[in-house]
Amino acid sequence: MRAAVTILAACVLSPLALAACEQGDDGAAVQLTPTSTAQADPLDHPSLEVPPRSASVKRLTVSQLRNSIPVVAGAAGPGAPIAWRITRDGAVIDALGDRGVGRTLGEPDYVEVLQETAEPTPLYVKFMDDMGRDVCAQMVAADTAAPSAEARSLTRFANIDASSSDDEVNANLRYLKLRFLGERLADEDDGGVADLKTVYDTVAAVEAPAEAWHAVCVAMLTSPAFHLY
Amino acid sequence: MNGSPTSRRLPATLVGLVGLVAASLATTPASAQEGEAAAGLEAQCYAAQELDKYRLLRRLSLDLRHQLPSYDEYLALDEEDSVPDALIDDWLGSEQFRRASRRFHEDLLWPNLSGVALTEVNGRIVQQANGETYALLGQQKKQAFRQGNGTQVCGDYEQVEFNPDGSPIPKLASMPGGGTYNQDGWVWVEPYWAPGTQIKVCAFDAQTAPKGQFADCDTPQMVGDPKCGCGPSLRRCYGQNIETDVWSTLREQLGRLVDDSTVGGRPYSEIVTSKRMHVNGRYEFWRKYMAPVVVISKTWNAPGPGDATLAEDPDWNDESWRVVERSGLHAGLQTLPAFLLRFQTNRARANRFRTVFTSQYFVPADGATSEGCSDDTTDLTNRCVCATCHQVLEPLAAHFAEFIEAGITPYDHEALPVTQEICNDIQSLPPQQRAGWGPTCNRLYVMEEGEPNRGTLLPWQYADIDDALHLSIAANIASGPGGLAESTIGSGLFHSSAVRNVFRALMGREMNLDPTDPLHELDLLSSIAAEFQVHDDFRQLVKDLIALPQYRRVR
Repeated sequence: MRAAVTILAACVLSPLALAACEQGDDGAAVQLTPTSTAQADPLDHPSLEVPPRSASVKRLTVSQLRNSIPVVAGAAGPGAPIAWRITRDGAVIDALGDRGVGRTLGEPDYVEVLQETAEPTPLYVKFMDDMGRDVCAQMVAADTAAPSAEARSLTRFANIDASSSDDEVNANLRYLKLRFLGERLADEDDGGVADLKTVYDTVAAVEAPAEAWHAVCVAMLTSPAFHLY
Repeated sequence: MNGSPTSRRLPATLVGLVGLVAASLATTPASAQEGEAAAGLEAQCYAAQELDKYRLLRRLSLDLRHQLPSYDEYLALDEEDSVPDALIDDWLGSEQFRRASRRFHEDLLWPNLSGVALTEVNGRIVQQANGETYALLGQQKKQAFRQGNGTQVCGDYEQVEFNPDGSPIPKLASMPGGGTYNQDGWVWVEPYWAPGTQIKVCAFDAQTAPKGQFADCDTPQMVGDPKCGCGPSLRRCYGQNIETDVWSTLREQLGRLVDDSTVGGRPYSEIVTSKRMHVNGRYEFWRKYMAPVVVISKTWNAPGPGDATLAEDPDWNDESWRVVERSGLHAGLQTLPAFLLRFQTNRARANRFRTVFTSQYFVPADGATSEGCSDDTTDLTNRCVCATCHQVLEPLAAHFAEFIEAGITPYDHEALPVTQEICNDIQSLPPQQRAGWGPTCNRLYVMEEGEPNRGTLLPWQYADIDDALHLSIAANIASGPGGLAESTIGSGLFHSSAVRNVFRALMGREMNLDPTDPLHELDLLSSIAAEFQVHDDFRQLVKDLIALPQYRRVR
């Protein structure tokens, strides 16, 4: 369903809205440049097709997180998918399992918690920081032990235990953006990974390459872009 | 939490940088201020973007499979214009989609029975402090077996002397504080929960006779009978974790009925109409041997009219599932144990059904009148303030009347007639008969002095009033939960509500049903619900919704 509404008035009345309208979600469909702050005559502008209200941004649920970490992080060995693990009462357990922090993160048990409020609360952010550090440490360890580049999940296009060229680092960062965030960059697009490259370079200047890739990994796993969709 | 996550050393000065970059990777406003600004944009210009095929794949995978796509799945899109329909069909047929669909329905039906009491202390057999011998936990049962003060269990020796009826011949023993009790020894038993093993069980507790001194041992009266034990292989009693196993089984049973109608090829509306039910040996064992030993103060789960016939000799350890047919007033998931025990009153059952399957909610009315109503009647359809909701709720609740509250048993009116004169006049009964009927009357029948229709089963109390509302209560009792399902389906509410529920799960927001909003989605709801009512295919509904432009855009 597409509703036709006149949006000129809203765009003219609000500078904030104007910015959005000029940037437009359908590009050239909306090009407005008011010449004064006075209200323009809406009859001068034709009706516009406004797209339907889109889906809302959602946060990963605990269940989605539990299922997704092994997909993104790969395996530590045959039959050993990487998962977020914590130590409780002296035993290493799945952090998102029944005995872990799933309930704390809001996973419903249908008795005390009936609905998962999938919001990025400070508590969620704190635990995701823990998750990122733990999972990334396991990824680095798995890559270090992997027999070939193809078997590596974090550093498929760069070296884990030695320095890499800028091209290799950028290629690997583009790979990671697709693997972690679903963002496909063109083969030569270095600008799209510039922020991550800064992280890599800054850490690599003072630490081993493995530490630099760990930092990149944590940056991606703690990014809102990973947790929201 | 005692432990902490594995941590690699990250230079402190870099922590801020990593966080900054992490935030900058987001395509969504990270701060509250940005969020508000974005909300303003959205409200005025709907500044949303169409998802590119990789992001769309990510969204589809998370919604349909509850997991991110793999790297190879992303790469496979390079040669495609969009996410291929064949891939979506493949995912809709996957095990992950089955699990996601089940989770979606669990979010609606809350089938966690943890804490639902299936028995009480006199039905629990536990290991004693010596770590070897098992005995029933309840004081009443211990006293019935051994006299004494209700704390004594058997002695640490093998019981070798028995009466012809199989009951142990006890020895007289002294209690620490003076007095005596009848002390038994232990016997070896192969418990139903661990076939092939032998455990020591107090001889009184391990008795297997079908009939006791006063009562049939498969009835509630066995609690006070000294010759009623736990039965062959202890099958009348709950060992450690047995209750938890039953809860899990009942939850799985409901999930399997949902699976039938989401991925199993059966019409979606069957989740509220089907007479089918999944059972396994564990369920049938519980229902046949354990549930009949009803404890009046706990849930009432004995088999009743319309329940599926149970296997001749079910095996607790048989966890393979098969489908059986129910009859009578059984209908869909709303007469499965997981629903009836999760929502234990008829009002709770009707309210949850209404919320989930009609998307209607009770909201207290403003300024409820106090005219033409009563402040103290127990007929809530006529009670001031309450009436505004209960004139709707009471007739709906009546659909569940034939299933016992706080239990799953369909009423057998030969044993529990709608009007029970004994309960109407219980004080005039001899003490022994009063003790026998009292708990049943108090639980199931109208007993309050001065109440209308005293001695009538509670759901029937106001079903005989000759007005349209109360006549509908009587009619709804007769049509049962199936009648509720049929009327909900016939009105179109069932399918439109399902559309709204699935839409909410996929879009992360409610449908816009405000007719004054130019962007309302009333027409969309009508058209999709009408189509859904015809095809009645859950997967097709999901396909229709993920094809909408709403789903393929993000703001």
